[in-house]
Amino acid sequence: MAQKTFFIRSEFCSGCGICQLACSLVKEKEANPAKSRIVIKRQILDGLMVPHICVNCKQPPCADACRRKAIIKDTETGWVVIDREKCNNCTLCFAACPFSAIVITPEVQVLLCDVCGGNPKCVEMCPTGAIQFADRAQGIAGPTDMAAVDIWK
Amino acid sequence: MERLAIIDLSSEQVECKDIPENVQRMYLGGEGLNAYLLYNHLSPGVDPLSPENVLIFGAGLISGCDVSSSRFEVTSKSAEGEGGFGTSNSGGFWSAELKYAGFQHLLIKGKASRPTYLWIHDGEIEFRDASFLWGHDTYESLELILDDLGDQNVQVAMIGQAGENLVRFANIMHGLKRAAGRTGMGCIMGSKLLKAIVVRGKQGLKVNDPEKLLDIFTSHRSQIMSTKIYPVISRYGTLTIFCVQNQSGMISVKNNQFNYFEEAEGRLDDEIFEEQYKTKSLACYACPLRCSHRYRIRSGPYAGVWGEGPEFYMMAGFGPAVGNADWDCILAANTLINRYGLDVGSTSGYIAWLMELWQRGIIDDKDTGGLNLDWGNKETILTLIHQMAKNEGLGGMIGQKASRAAVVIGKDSARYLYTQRGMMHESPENTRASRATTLAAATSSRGSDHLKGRCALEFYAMPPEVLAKIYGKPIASDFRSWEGKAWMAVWTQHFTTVVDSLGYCKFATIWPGSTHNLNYKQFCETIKAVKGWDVTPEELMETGERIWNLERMFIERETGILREGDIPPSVYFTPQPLEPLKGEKIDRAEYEKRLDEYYEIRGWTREGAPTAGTLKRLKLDGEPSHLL
Repeated sequence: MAQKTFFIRSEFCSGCGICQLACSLVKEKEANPAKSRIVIKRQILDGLMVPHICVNCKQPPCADACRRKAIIKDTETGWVVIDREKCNNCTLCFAACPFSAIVITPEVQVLLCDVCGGNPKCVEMCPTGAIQFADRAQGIAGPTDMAAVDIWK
Repeated sequence: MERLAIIDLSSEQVECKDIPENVQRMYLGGEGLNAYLLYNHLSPGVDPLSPENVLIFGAGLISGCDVSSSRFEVTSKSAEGEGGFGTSNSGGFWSAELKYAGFQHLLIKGKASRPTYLWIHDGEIEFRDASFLWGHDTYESLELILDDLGDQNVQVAMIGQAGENLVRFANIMHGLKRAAGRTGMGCIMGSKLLKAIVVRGKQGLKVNDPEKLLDIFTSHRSQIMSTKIYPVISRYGTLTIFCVQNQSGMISVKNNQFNYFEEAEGRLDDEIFEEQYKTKSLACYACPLRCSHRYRIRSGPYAGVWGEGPEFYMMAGFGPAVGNADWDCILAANTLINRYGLDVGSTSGYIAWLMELWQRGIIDDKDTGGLNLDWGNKETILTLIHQMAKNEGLGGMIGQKASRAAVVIGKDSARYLYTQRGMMHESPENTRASRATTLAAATSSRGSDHLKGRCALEFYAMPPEVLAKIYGKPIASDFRSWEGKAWMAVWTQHFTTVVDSLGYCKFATIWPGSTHNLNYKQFCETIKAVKGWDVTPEELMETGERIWNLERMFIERETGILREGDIPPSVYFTPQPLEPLKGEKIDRAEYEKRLDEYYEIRGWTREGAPTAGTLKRLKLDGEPSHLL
């Protein structure tokens, strides 16, 4: 089975945060980007907008760091999932993630993207194609070029 | 529950209050509740720059919940407009962040004993020393604040040197380009020694029906992105208006002497900006339109200058209005103006006025301190901006006096100064041929206000049945006809007021030119999902009317200028000199007749004051016993 994951093209990110608002409404039932599983790091003066989301590493450092084995790499789908029963919000995974893709809420709860079961809302909502969800083996050269057609000449 | 914080800078005390639901429903948020708070909290007759004046920041009612809804309104007694109703609106992230921090409105009174900035985070408000920021421009201040708080995610609304130096048309900047520009709100902020308001919120908003809101959010986004205007706006932003407006002969050239600028052809096009200067598109919070641009000037005398913006009003104000057809100079001026925190409309308008006085020999190099004010003199344009912000020389005098500068200069200078209610007529606006836009802009609360007045759908010669469907009454397709235009003006003013009170961006609504964009129906859906109220388009329209009338009551109380303030600048009554609209003008007698019609629709007297019956109908007749 083809394994799908996220591809980020931060040069297309306008920093709007539609993805964050959508994610918090889907997952937390409230409008709160601070509890979104996707984070946009905004360097305002540089105009640099960088989305951070779990890219489902082949060998996830977060899973290695977790002492309670609460983070598991699903071998079939390839998705990295968190077992909320086992997690005690120690945040070791947060420290281990090289992509700043794990979110700690103001109440110190660990949040990890669950790809919305295979149809990520953030990807659906992104107006510029800066986040894509595609077959890991195939990459996104085609779809991203298409998505960017209307943005840059 | 939406909250109001009453912040006293003199005593450094804060009082928080819940905003009662009935008040929210009557005035929504943003502009509406700001007007209500201003009317109730400001003692009549105080000087705008005194500590007794209040400065009110208001996020929209649904800011932070829907697409393109993160706009905030700043309201106070006007610093530029002869003490009238001062209000201005800005996009960005600040509004949503304020809501996430637990507040919808901030009412700031008193005056700080030293330069201060406010740090608002998750329900807490701190007064912090801003001495290290004082004297710095907005780009520098932003960087210093981010460092001071050690957080890159804070949102900052601040003033530059122009606000510190009490320039009458200083604005409040948010980020690198977004500005609450008109009526000198930055001047009021400077008079209170308040450098910045920094917000960060992680509390989020609990909404009435999150599932429904998600559906609405998704469909509103698709709706905005499916319009024909979307690909254009998301690439060029408002710059796209320029060529159309110029080739239609509706632009102010050399202080409204002409209406078409031939030199701009092939030089000031939006495509040229896109190809040669733009480096990136950026968006406001949760907005797919991304109409803001980063740019860098790559060569020439201003090489290396970078910034964000510009909008149509910027490039037309520092382009044709001052006789300049050089993009480099426009962009250099844009960066400078944003750094200093000056309003583009007034700054360019006054420079254009001075240049016309120079052209006519009313001022000479003794008056200008040696500056050569020939049309399009780039160095002079930039020098005058520096002078205004720093309060030096001729520019400094203009900045401190605004429209009263005509008294200082004397002679025949007032004849060429086009102001309304003390506000500089927005320099690029030269729409005398389009009747509804002229009437609506002239009768707006702050005076000469295209953001309330531009009846954009008037320009497209739409079929009468489409117009009738939108406006509910017959409207002439031809923009030069007066038929139905008084109602179009009233409708547009109500609509834009509701949009500003909800916090939506007007570019996501049907206002700028796509009938498929968001309208009252979509606003009702969002309000239902967020607040749980069953509102109808009719109720929202009445809300807009209520807010409009309250603003009128404020103007009546503070200035007493009603009908005589509703007349467009004198130049509107003279014929356009150039094709394609050569000879078009507003006929004075016809205008007065249409103004009567406008007052009649509004339920106002012939002098332009709301009648007792109108106030009763809008529930504005009682004492403000529900005072917050």
